[in-house]
Amino acid sequence: MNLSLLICARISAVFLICVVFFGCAVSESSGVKGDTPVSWSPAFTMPELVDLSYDSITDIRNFPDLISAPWYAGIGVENKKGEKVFLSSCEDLFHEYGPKTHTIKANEMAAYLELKVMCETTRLLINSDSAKYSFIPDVFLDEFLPKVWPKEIAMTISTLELKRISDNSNFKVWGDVMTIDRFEKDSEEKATYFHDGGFQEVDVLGNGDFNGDDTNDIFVVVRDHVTGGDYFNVRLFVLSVNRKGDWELLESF
Amino acid sequence: MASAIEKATLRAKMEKYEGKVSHMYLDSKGFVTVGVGHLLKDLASAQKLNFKNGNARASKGEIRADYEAVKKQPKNRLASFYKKHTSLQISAFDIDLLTDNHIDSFEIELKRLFSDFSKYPSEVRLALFDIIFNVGMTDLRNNWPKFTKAVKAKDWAVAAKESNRKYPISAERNNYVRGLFESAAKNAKLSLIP
Repeated sequence: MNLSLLICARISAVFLICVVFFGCAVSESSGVKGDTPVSWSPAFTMPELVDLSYDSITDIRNFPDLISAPWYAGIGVENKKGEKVFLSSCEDLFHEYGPKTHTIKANEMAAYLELKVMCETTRLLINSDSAKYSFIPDVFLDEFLPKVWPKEIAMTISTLELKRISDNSNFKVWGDVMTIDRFEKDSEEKATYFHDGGFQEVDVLGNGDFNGDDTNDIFVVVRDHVTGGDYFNVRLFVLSVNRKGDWELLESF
Repeated sequence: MASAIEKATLRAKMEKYEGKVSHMYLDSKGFVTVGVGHLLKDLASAQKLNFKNGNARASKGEIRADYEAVKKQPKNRLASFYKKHTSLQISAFDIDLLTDNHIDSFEIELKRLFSDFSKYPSEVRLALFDIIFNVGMTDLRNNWPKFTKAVKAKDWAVAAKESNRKYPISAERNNYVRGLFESAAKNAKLSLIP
């Protein structure tokens, strides 16, 4: 009897050690486990861009309403077929736009890009799943971000210079392409990165599992500004990070 | 100095790209702006301009009211969005004066960057104005190495190829600038024919 108890105790001890060891190892290497729901930040401004009488959206099940809701104003564009059309909702935009769509009035392009990116983010949030795993650091908008985010984040206006950067395998990350000489943080979701020709505003709009790999991805908008010129661009990125902290660009819009 | 014809061309282009807005609005950076992208960096700058309330000259208090009302709004909306928050306007004549001043400032920057700027063909000067309006002096100087090298070497054909800007710059605008350089290149070749 004493021997049986001793054996049981030893087996239990071994079992306990295994649980502690492997349990700890699993939680350290797999990030946060359990369902991480799709979520969005105050930087996601689609609810403010639609008709002002629209109530604030708090439930993602209402997001399809943002797709059909009228914008604060309509914008004329040249569609994929080269026809002049008037867009007044995300639904209109998805039906008519292409990657090179321009507004009929050149000075309306900035406002169009803002609407386009927020419409695409709405669609991303609707179509994303909750994630089982999340390796997204609690804090990542900091001065070191240009050393880890992909080079596609960098602002390049010249077509041929962009091609040279893309073809150059020595350029891997954002900071390889441009030197960020100053950083200002407004919140955990918003920061501005300054370089000698201008600055880039980075807003984290939300997160969700974009590609069905059970891992949480983030949706980021980058607004590119120059100093002393009128160039402006708004770009949307879907980024993923693995357990080692390596960031990957999944999609850009 | 840009000729009268060049200035008229440049003003028309700037109006097309920036719009010509008689009331205050916010630009993409969130700065209060008026006219053809004329930045009002602070209230004092706004109060120096000839804003009108109907036919009457606006008071400093009225200008402050418009400035502060617009400043509170979200940025990067259509310029027309901001109109309902304003009561003052600036005349087309005053807008043109402000735009001419901008053109003069850009010319000073271009001469700083390209010492032979004044001797370049008119088409090249117009093309360079278009690019510097858009990307600014610092980006042009630092991030367009092959383009600026070609311009300094007066190799207009290479400058034409290197001048292309990616979306959201339109194909129309790129074609316009490339066409100016190509025209200069063609004229340069013709001038070599005895």
